[in-house]
Amino acid sequence: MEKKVFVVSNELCSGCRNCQTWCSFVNSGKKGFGPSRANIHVLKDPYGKLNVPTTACDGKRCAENEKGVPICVEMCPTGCLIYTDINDLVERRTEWEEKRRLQPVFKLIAPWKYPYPWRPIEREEF
Amino acid sequence: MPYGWMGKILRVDLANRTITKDDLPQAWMEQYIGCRGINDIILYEEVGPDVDPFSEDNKLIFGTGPLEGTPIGMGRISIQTKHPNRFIAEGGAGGFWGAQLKFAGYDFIVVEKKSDSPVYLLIDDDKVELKDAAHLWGKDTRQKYRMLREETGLRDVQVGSIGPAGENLVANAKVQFTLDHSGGKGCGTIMGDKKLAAIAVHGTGRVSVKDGEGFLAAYRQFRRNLDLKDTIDTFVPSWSFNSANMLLELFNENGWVHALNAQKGTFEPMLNDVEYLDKYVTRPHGCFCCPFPAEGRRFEVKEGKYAGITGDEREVGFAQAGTIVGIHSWPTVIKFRDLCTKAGLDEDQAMYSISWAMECYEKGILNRKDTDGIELRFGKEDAFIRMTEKIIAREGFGDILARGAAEAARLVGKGSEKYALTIKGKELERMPERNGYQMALALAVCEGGPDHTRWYPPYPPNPRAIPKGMKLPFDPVKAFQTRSVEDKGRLVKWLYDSRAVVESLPSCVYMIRGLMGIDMGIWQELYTTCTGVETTTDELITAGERIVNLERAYIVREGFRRKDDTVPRRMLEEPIPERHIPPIGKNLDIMLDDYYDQRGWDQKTAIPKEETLRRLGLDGVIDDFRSMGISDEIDA
Repeated sequence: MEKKVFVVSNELCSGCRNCQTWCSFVNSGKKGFGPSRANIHVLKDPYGKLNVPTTACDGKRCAENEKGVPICVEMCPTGCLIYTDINDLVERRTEWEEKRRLQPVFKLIAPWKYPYPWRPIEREEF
Repeated sequence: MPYGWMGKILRVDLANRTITKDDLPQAWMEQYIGCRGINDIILYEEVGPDVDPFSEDNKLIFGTGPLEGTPIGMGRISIQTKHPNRFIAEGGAGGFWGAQLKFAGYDFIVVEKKSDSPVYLLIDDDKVELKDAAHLWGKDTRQKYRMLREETGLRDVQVGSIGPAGENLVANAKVQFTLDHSGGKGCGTIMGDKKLAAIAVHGTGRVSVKDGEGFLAAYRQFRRNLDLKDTIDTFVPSWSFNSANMLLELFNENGWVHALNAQKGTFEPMLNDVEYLDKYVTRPHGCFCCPFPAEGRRFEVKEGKYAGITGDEREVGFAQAGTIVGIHSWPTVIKFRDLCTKAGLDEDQAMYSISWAMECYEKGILNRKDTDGIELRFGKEDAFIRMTEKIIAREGFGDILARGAAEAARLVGKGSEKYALTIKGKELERMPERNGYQMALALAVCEGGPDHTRWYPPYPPNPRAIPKGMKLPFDPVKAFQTRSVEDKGRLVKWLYDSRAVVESLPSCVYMIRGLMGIDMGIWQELYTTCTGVETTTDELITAGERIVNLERAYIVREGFRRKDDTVPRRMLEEPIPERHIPPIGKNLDIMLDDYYDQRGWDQKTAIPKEETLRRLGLDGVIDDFRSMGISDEIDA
């Protein structure tokens, strides 16, 4: 099995802190929510231009559940946070780069999170 | 102390600069759930009918509930005070501020008295202090946030502040939270009157949950209801990344927009949501733990006169500002939004006041001399922006509009009152009253002026998805028929009661999608697993009913009666010409009779009857009504 790591696409992060909040929940033994004690932190710049999920966690123990992914990845609403190996990562990033030229909705959500048949919009330059 | 709560009320006395930490009474948690419900009881008990809104006895309350700080809370905060028009000014805001307050260890903040110089409140876990804010006064809300972030040195500090609009006491000014989350129409005005510039909050604590596994299971079910693919609600997919902008074309097609001060129901060419997404949206930007991927988005204008403007938008649907004043330019609308956000000015207050002035100008009631030389006609983009700036600064004609459309119409006179679109003296919120009678009724009876979040969403889930044998308090087919008066009383009562529960948990009403709007089961499960309080859906709904009745009792005590429960004259008397949609006319009275009957309120006066109040355990209200002679009005 390939080594799995967390990968973050900053452009897709909505800064909602679902990952951080749920991580603290699992960390506390499912006793409560306290985002300051999580293994992943979503940093925000004061101008609102950038959200950066930051983690030094390897996700190994957390991924050993019925879903097969760590809870932060499961709860991420946009698909900005993924837990995967290198081959899969290359495939996904390629798909995203191609699709977001044709459909502006992929500025907001990841195609691997919502793999539905999005209709491309018509534009002259394509 | 039940789980979920911090159990502390922070009382801040601005005159004496003292801060006390009180315990939260157990009885309130049981009877009023939290957030909006407990704010109501604090306001009812502590701000009586003899208190003038601008006196130092008026209080400003920031409240959270038991589920705040968990991912269900969405950072919701309910702000309440006595509105300058004497009803309850209540507003919710999302963002991160509410959650941060819980993590700091407090459920409520009650701001009392007035300060004589600008101050701000800094809460850093146990450390609470009032600090001088002379340097913050006059700055816009984003600047205030950045200055406080720098000054306190706390990376994750959340700031709730007022902008120049609140400082200049513009009517219906709101409180603006870190990075473009806002709420509480009228609360910003009172905050400005109290000279409280900002509240900065930083917390590192934990909100505990009784049954973690159960909560997680209920939350996963909640997320399935809102998933783009698994949902039964047709609104969810487009709402997920377009939010209220998806309604633009739907509204226009059906004649639902308030175009040109609601003289018309459609507007061509309409602003297009795909164009917006393509050209101006840069990335998603949500509230605390929002389950929708892009219910909120960040926008940026890249070229043209307004190049460089960035900001966040969520539900607001500010694009309708364009149709109301007759413009169809995204950059202008975005510039308007930017001005309002920085100043803490309420968009609805500004757009409906200006559209009222534009109609008066076109009808010859106002002329160039009145409007300081600005040609205030529909479709004039620069005039619109210039006037918004004047409202914020309260200069010239802007000083009149800053009082709100109703008050401005009273000052101008000459029959201009006919064109002001206000309910209880507060501007509308872009809802299609003439096309959905449930919305007309719900707006008319709202205790806090026309507020759509108290009964949203007003549409049913797919009727075929309603499980067989499910008992509903209304007939889902009849009740949701848009232009009929049938069953509207029971429907609106249900909408108000159930949404009061959701807002008191608190959670965001825009999450009420699919079956979650008609079945309270999921909310009850989340509430029980979090707090450990065993309850049933019926008990929750009764608590919701208690909250609404308490709010009604509050405005009854202030002198509001049935005559105030109405919609603007235009909706009652004028049709929508292009779509041949008739005015509401007498239908409103039929629905009001029905609604008061269902509520157990007196039909003639809209005063809650004693048996209703007794059933809900509001005995204190009965005593008040007796001693003030309000009970006698029912018999007469």
